[in-house]
Amino acid sequence: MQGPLRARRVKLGPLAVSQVCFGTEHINRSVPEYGGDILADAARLHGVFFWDTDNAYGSHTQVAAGLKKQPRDQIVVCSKTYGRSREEAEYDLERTLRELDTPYLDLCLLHEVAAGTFDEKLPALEVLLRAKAEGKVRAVGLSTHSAGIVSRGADCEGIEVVCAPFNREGSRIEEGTLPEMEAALKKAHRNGKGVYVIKVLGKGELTYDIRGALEWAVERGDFIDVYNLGVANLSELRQNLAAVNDCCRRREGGR
Amino acid sequence: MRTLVRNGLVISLIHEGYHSIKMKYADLLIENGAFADIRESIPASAADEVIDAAGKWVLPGLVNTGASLIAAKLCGGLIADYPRQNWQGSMLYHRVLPMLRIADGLLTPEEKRDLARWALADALAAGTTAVVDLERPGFADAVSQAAKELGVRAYVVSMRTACGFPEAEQDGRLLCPEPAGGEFAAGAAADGTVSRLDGLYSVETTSGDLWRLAAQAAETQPLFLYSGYSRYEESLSRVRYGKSPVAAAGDAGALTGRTVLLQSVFTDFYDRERIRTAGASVALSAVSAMQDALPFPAVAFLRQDINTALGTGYYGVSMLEEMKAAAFGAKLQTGNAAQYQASDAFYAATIAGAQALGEPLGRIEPGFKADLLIVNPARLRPHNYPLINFVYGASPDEIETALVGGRTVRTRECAGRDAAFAEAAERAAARAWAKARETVL
Repeated sequence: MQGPLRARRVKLGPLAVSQVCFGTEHINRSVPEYGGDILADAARLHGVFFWDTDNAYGSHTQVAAGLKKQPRDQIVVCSKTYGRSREEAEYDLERTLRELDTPYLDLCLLHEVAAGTFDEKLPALEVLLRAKAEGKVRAVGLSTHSAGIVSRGADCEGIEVVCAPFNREGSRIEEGTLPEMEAALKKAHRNGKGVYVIKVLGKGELTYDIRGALEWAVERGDFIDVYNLGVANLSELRQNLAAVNDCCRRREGGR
Repeated sequence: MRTLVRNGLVISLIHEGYHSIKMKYADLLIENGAFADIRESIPASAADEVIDAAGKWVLPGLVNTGASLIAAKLCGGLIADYPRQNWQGSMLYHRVLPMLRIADGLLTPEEKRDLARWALADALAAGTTAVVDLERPGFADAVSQAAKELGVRAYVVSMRTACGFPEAEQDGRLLCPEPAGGEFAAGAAADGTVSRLDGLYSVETTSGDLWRLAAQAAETQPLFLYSGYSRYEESLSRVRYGKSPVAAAGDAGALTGRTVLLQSVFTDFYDRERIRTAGASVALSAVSAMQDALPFPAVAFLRQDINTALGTGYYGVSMLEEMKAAAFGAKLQTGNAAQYQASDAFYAATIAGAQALGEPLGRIEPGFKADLLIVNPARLRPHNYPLINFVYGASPDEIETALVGGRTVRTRECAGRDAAFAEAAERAAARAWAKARETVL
């Protein structure tokens, strides 16, 4: 008899998280309390307790509602800052904590670090590292669509998690080729960074073959810790989670 | 004057990286006509007036970026369902403009104002707080006056034509051409919430002189210009200028970052690239496109990164209907139900219109003008996805209160006033129809 559908627990840098992350970008259409119910059920029913948000997604209010429905220490929340300067990063972090109504963020990323702009983000990185020392952030990382930035992050001591698009067609990678992105993610993993991939379904472009696209990514699980899948409801989450778990089981069975 | 709107579910679109829906339970403090503070709890003592929006949705007011208010009221019943093959693909010359010409010459200023009040009251009841009204110059004063009376934010555009074209003079029944005058470039005149502008009909009635005047004007103010709206216009432009209407406008210098092309449904990829590189906007009417059995290429414009707003055209004044029609039309056009979602229609009816005007409208954010709607969602249950419910389900019955610049301009108690407007306007319309029956109908 098949057991309940639950996400695996894995390590992402210093954090214990669910292998499948709930990308909350698409639950911004629901009223906060209903979006919160969806997230809480994702954690309760399916073990998807790693939730990814950002103010730009418009989903802070739904995530805040979800956090009220589960013990705070059993949820891992990631948000981000587009800030470059110290002031911008401080503003974003304070606003995020206020909007999520939480004393701390589990993971805070420098958001969409564009190719060639890593050094511009250093003042913001300083802010996040200081926030970590103060207990406002548990882990610090960056998100980017650039293979070169992933590689820079892999070499940066303060960066604990890198987040980048990774799918079999290489779509949404804005700088570098698919092999270059793969090499950069492998390097990050070797250097002890948590590796967290987005756009596995190409932001909808690969939904004609969800299983195939997920299988391609899971086959590369040697250097990928977490799959962020943006969904709008539990039925989409279940479909994706079941596919990831099946692929993992097959991959392990084939060893 | 400070106004506090309390306890509502605020639904707006934000832009930080890209556009997203954002909903939160929050209080809004309005000061000097703009949003001054948005927080979970603002004390009532901070304001002179308090509006309780508990259990209600609070949304930005809708921006109608291309209405023909007088035509929508005067021509009701005259233009829908007629075969188009005998009319060069458009009812403009054969029904709309002749009817307007008759009314312009026949009606008194008071009657014109009655018509304008009727149309504006209906538009406001259906959520429009800012309207770009494209009018025959003889109606511009009436619309401006009515907008001031009702407190609606209005951009009243006198549409100019040149003499000497057969389309403008044929049989004396079509356009009544206005002289191509130097007054075109006089600049936008603003009086409170009402601004006066000039615009152009398309290539078939536009001379080189008018293009040049328009191009000068577009350096400092929005320029509204019909382009690519009918197959007839397209073929005429090819014959006359050897290029598409959009290319003709561009080559004449009339395509700038302040230009808003109206109902440009007949454009190809290269036209759209030209629009995009000029930084111009487009305002489409899905209701008009569907009534005229024309394409509705909103998704094509969005794919080419063109700011694409919505207007109601001359078939109606309801932006609620326009948003719904836009979503349906775009889905039909692309054959994809996931395209042009409710949030896209709402974006087009708020932020895109504001961008076309270059005004801080369409969003509930500090510093933006406080034009908003308070919606009673009782009939729209279940409420889990409010924007979808609003775009696909809302009627004027749901809109309880409208504010423009923080001032309440409509409540449900206005229904009696609106009925009186309608009664007076119907008498004026009847006079125009009686005259039209003797001539063009």
